[in-house]
Amino acid sequence: MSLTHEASRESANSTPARRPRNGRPPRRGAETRAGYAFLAPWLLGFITLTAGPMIASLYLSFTNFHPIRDWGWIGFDNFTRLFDDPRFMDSVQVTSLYAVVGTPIKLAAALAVAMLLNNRRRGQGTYRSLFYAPSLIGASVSIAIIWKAMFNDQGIVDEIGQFFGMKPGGWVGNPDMTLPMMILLAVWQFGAPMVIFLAGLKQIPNELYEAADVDGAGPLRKFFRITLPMLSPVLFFNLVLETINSFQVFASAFIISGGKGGPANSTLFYTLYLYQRGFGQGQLGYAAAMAWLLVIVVGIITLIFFKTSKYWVHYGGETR
Amino acid sequence: MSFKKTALRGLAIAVAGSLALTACGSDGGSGDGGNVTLKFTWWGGDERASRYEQAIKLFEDENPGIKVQTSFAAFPDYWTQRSTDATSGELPDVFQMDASRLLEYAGSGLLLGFDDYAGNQLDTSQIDAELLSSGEANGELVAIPTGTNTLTLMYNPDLIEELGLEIPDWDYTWDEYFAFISEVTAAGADHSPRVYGADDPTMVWWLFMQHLVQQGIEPFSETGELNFTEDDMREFIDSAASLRAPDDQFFPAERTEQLDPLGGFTNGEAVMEFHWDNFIHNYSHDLGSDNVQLMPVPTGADGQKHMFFKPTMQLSMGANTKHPEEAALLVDFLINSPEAGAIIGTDLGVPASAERLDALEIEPGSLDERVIEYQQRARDEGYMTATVPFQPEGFGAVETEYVEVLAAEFGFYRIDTDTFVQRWFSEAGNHLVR
Repeated sequence: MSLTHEASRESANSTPARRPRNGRPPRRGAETRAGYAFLAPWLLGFITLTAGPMIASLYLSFTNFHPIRDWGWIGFDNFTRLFDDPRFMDSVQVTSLYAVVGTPIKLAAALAVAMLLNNRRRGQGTYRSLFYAPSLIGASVSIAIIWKAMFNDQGIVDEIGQFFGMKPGGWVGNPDMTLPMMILLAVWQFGAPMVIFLAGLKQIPNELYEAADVDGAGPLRKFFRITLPMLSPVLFFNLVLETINSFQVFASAFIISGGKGGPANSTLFYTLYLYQRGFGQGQLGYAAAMAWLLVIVVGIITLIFFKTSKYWVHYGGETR
Repeated sequence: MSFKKTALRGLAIAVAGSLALTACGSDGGSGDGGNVTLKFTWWGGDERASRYEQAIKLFEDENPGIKVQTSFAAFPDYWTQRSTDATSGELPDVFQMDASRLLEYAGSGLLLGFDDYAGNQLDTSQIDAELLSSGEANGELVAIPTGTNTLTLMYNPDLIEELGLEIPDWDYTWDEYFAFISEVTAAGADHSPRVYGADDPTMVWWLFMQHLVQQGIEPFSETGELNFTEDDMREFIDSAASLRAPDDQFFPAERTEQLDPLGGFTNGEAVMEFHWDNFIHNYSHDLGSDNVQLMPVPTGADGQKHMFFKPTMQLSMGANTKHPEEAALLVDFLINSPEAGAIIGTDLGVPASAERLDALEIEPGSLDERVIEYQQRARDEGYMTATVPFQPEGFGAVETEYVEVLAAEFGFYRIDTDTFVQRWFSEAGNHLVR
């Protein structure tokens, strides 16, 4: 006898018999408790590893907490000090530039490749995996090290540039070129948004394109009138996700600059500066204040995205 | 099975799981039966690591019940790790300490005093009393100096000869030093790779200390107040102004950034660099040449050098150690044992322990001989007239601000002298005053 059969027989026999007339499931309390019990491992982790430390860091942001020295409550001093701190301003500038320039380029690259891969052709699966690969390895330490070597004096980028008669020099030591280098590293990892775009493209009904063909629309018009509007929920999702990600970049900057954020603060990303203050200098209260400011700012940006989304994001079946 | 039972079981599994995770985190430091594992950590490069590892092997052979787990990191990362250790009460049993951090760590009770172990597991009688007292904080001995070092100008005679130049005499002045840098940079312009004189010495914190001492200024008071002014710092930094833009005589910051973790000197692209004399081992190893020579710092305005010996580094025990006796035994071995001394040489400074120094067989022409002879000659010439500046709580942090943060921006001409000075003094306020 199959299990399903037995299970269905049991439910057919016993459950309805016990079920009260009003159809309410029995012993809801017990079920809830079981639910919480199954949730317990996650809940325990959430409370002890996420919520607890977050509340602690909120408290610490109002202190001059230092792992070794005496510390105490200092009110809003950390937050006011931030705005007199030239390196903090540098880190805000670097991070904003990275987010504002890097995110659109990355999304454009992801969408472009997704559209190429959307057409049926031989070896499509292989291409998809190949284009996705950088996202898997891109955040690793080894890639950051290789990236640094590529953009050094006499690195491969310099050599190729010289072959074409340019003199790119080493980007690693040039404060004006390190941020473009970091953005390039981020753009190269377009795999994750690409896969999401690809899924979105597959959802667009083919009839729309067929109708457009009948009406004689060109590829550009089809892209702007069909693809982009139909894809807007996916685009919105990717935009929010990638923007938040770009504010959190740390590992690559840490490796490439040796934890210093150099040259001349040009890779001093917000999180890297936070780390330097908190763990390098032991000013954990100050670092906690920075962390909370980041949470607030990212929250506001996300809110703005959601508020403006009704003007440009179209959900299927919506009548407007 | 009732839901209640399922719920309880689920909860039990969750709790057991989290306990198991906690167990992973706790240090299984010791087993029973006399087997003890000590954690020992230091800052330094590959060269130091291989010396320590060899010495530790010897220690383990002599003390079969003790195992030593070692790790090391570069200086800035090292202190990041230690402050994290300190927060979680997991400082290593034995670790390298620096005078610039000693009062900070000792003041918070993070170090175990040696008083109970000195004379038993640890022999301190071989160390000069004044040198030993550098490891005291609040009247308690909490750090044992490994040796002494002093500032030096390291130079690469082969490279200088290649350029057809000659290093100045030992009685050279700061101006003569700057002139020589320009000479080298000019002569090295056509060399492949391009060779420069040296880095900007005014960006070296300890040379600023040396400069103040040459002016008769004791940089810090015992309570951590500054005895120098913004003008003193500005004057020191501006003394090298003629070698900066537009002439760019110093080793370029862009290149330093690319060579990291090596430097201009260790990559054979600069002929000189100021450092502590015990760094000759590391520098010679990185440069791949034994021919690295030492000479003293330039002479000050009054015709004297006012140099000082510094305790190179110290060894301390974490207050949280569960095996203080074994830890003290390890410190004793690293400080006193002549066999360990033969391996370590002068990498931790000229040995503090008289017994070890006497037993040290110095090969003629070796780096060890060079360090010991350099210190001896500096003493004979009457250069060593000053005492090492007092290093108050926060000294390490203000040093970092000077050499890591501000110098990096200054080297790229992103900030000028005034901004440098103003920002240093504003940060010093955060670090020095409790």
